[in-house]
Amino acid sequence: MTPEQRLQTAILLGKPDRVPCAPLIESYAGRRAGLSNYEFMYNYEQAELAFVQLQQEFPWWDVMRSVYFVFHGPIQKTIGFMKPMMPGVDLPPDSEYQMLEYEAITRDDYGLILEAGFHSFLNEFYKRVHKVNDEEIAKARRLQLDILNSQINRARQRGQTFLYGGFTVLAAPLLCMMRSLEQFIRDMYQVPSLLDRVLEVVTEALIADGIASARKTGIPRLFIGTARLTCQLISVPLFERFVWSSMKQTVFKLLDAGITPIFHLDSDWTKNLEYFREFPPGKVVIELDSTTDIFQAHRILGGHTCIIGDVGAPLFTLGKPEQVQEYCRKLLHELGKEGGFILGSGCHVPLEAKHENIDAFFRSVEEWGWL
Amino acid sequence: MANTRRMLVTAVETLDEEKVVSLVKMGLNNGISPLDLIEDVHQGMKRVGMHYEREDYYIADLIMASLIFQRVLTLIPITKENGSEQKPQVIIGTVKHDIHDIGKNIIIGLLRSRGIGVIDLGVDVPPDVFVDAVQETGAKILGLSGLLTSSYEVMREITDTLNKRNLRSRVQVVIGGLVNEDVKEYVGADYWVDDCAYGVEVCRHILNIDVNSSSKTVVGVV
Repeated sequence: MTPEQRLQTAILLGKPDRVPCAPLIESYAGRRAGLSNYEFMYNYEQAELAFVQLQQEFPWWDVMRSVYFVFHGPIQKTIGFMKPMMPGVDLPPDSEYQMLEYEAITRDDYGLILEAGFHSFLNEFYKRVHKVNDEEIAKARRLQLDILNSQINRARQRGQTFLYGGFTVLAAPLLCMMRSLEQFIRDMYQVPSLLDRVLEVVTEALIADGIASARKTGIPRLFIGTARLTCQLISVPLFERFVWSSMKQTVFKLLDAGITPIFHLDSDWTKNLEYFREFPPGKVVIELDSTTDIFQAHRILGGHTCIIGDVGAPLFTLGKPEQVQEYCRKLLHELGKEGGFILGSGCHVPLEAKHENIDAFFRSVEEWGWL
Repeated sequence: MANTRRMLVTAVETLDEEKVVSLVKMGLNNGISPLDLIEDVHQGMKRVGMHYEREDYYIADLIMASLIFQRVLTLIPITKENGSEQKPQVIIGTVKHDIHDIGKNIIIGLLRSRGIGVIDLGVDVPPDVFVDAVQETGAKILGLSGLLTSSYEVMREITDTLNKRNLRSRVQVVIGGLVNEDVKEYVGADYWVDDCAYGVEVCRHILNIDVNSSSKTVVGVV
């Protein structure tokens, strides 16, 4: 099978010849290639060389799963959804980038979204948060699409397939990042009807953007960021009202457009996994970050939803190679043997991952990934 | 007056921030002592905690209650003079090179609203600042927060320094963020938490505060 056939078979819950291998490797690749994280985040050409070097070392890495096109330094500093602190600019050159949590928009801005529409508001948001002008925003958008297209092409040239045809975030987590967690919680309790209306407008705009992006790149799969607002934090009624309703709407509109939603489920979704059974089988993918119990997820969603995951950052950083291999072996045997599973890292492979643990991760695919 | 105080307890319990604010203002205007009003807010917080223990409230409800409590503190300044200031029992900060503060701020709010005094050292805090704070305050709990894997080395450096300065036995080290049992062992901490509500229970356990005991009419402010 080609990497793309392998990937599509897993998404459709079939049994490929081998479990696809899709770690979310970004900055670690740069470090392994001897780059500072500043060089990696700000110099796309050098970042690509780092990806090439890593893939040559580990040819079993067949699915390029990257959101570099979103987090590339100049892009984040211009059209990021939060204010970033970047290595070599705001932080030491070898730091991971980080986001500042603050009340970047107020409750009054909800009125602006309803009046002017989300896209118009978003431009004002970028100007306010990143101190940029219209020209810089337009340039960053072009650069983002150029890098995404280039990432796709170069991944294909080296024999990989590329997972995402675009990137978006669910409306509620997006507003939560812009408002700050505490203020968004206040809004859910104090202005729920206003929030309903705003979420509806934002959801429509994000769906349109996601569809447009996937069509431009020709890859009918979309990364959808979801963070913070799970039933670990909020009640079932709040989840259903402010998260699940827009999640459902997003999924069904994307499916109508022939696009597969790939939900990046940060934090613990264990209590929310049953909801995914409401979607048609083999049509949605979830990525787990090692906080959700992936084996429980498989018990609930096995044979229904393709799962990507989930070797966690602590294991990559502190574990021994034999522990990494043992965990991967368990994933490949328990989740991979029936298909519908893609081996990946839980969220990003950390910058400080031990090299021998990365070796062990890839070795496990070679040893136990074949079906 | 008694009616205002009963309504205040209920308003906190039902997380009605504006009603709490208006009742506190009314109480102050009517001559109710600030300490009595804080006691009522604590009673409401205690009920919120009981709802959480019964699983009909979630962490977001605890956060909302803590936000209400913080708002009340803007109306009733806590001072030594009115007897409501308490010696800090917990020191918390995000370790050096890490600026994540959502979890840290939430747990600080929750602890303070449960009557536990906290010193907030902020973010990107160097190891010596943590250790000096332990030495200077005598706090029983040191909370180290970090969401980056680079935090593990810094946390370990802090426990090493505590050992070198013969302070380790004086303090229980609780780590939070992107942590687990393996990280706890590596760092040499006593507890790990990845959930703010559980973090509060760990602190209450260390401080020997019965979960179901009455709140005291004292709060910590720094």
